[in-house]
Amino acid sequence: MHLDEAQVARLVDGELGAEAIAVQAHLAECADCRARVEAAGREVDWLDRRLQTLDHDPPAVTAAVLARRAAAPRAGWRWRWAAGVALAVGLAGVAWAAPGSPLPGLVRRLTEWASRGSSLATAPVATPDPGRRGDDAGISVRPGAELVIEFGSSPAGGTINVELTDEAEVVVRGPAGAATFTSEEERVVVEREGPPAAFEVRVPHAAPRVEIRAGATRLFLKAGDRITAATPPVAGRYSLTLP
Amino acid sequence: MVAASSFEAAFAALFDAHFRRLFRYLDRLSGEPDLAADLAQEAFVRLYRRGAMPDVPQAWLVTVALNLFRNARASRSRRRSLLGVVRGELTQADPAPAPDAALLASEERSAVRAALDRLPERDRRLLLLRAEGYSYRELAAALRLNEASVGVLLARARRAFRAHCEGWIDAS
Repeated sequence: MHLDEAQVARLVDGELGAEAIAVQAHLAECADCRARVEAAGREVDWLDRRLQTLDHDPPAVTAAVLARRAAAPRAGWRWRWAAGVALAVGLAGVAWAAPGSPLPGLVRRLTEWASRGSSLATAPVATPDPGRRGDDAGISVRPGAELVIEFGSSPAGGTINVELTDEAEVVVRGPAGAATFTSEEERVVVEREGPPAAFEVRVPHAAPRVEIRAGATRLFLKAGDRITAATPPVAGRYSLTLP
Repeated sequence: MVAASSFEAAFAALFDAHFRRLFRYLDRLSGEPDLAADLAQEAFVRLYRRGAMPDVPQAWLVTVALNLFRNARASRSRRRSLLGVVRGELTQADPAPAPDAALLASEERSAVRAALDRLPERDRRLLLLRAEGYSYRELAAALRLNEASVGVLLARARRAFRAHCEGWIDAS
């Protein structure tokens, strides 16, 4: 019985652990496996040399410098604001150009309404319709080791329907105009606007840890396969009420 | 105060042990040393702001850096598609005539880069992280893999990389 591919790789990479004695004993008797291990080692060396051709010098920075940078007040709310505007413009452009986008029609209706001279006071107020996917807005992110989805605490009311999926990304979606969505490291922030609305959150089964919070209240937690929710599931979906 | 100074000592030790290899990994992955420098530093800045060490700090740093890399790439892609900018037009000047050795080195770099780019993303990351000495446990945590399958995946990625290089680089 020869060493398998994984054993050869673990040996070359110094990751054998408890099986090291048995593997070494086999190698002492098996010329074929010794040759495979030597070839695998040469391959790793060859690969390292190739990769070194890509290298550049690292930046001259120290831990102290980065610690000071981290501890400094975050300078850039203006930059963040400007970046947010730029991102919004960019996304609007993409949304405009996307096939099936409702934006061109929306703007056309707005223009027609304006040209009729209607006053703001009598303008019809669009009611967000969560069933209409074309009017949805949202964000999708690939979850890392953990992801927290935070719903801003104001205004009160609204629902979140949570569904577990086999997709790769967490999707947070709501009626257009009901919220703004921003993504940070390990965090998605949903700032609610306008009247209470129904949001949809799609959580991959494979996501290690996903938490949904509203202010200080935890509404939902998926940790591995274990789920803790404010309400029990109905037909596989969790319907959460936003406080 | 004790906890804070303990964290700072751990942060400094982690920086000394891992900053260079995180930078090198990102440099090899992106092919852009300036971007790699920014991402590696930002990952450590975020770790410091976190104020506590994660369970597997090296894997945490890699995950954060990869998220930042993905965001940077996505925003650049958006900008490029909106503005119609071709990366090569901005970054490639006419090269000065190179001596033979430099030319060969440049061709080898291009071939290595091309071979890496042909690998599936997971294999590319696996290969590059392992080349930086990350353990199987750290690889599994950073790339969300089963640790027991890391060896086989690595062996296949190495084989694929070598196959992509054949014809370009002397594989002896």
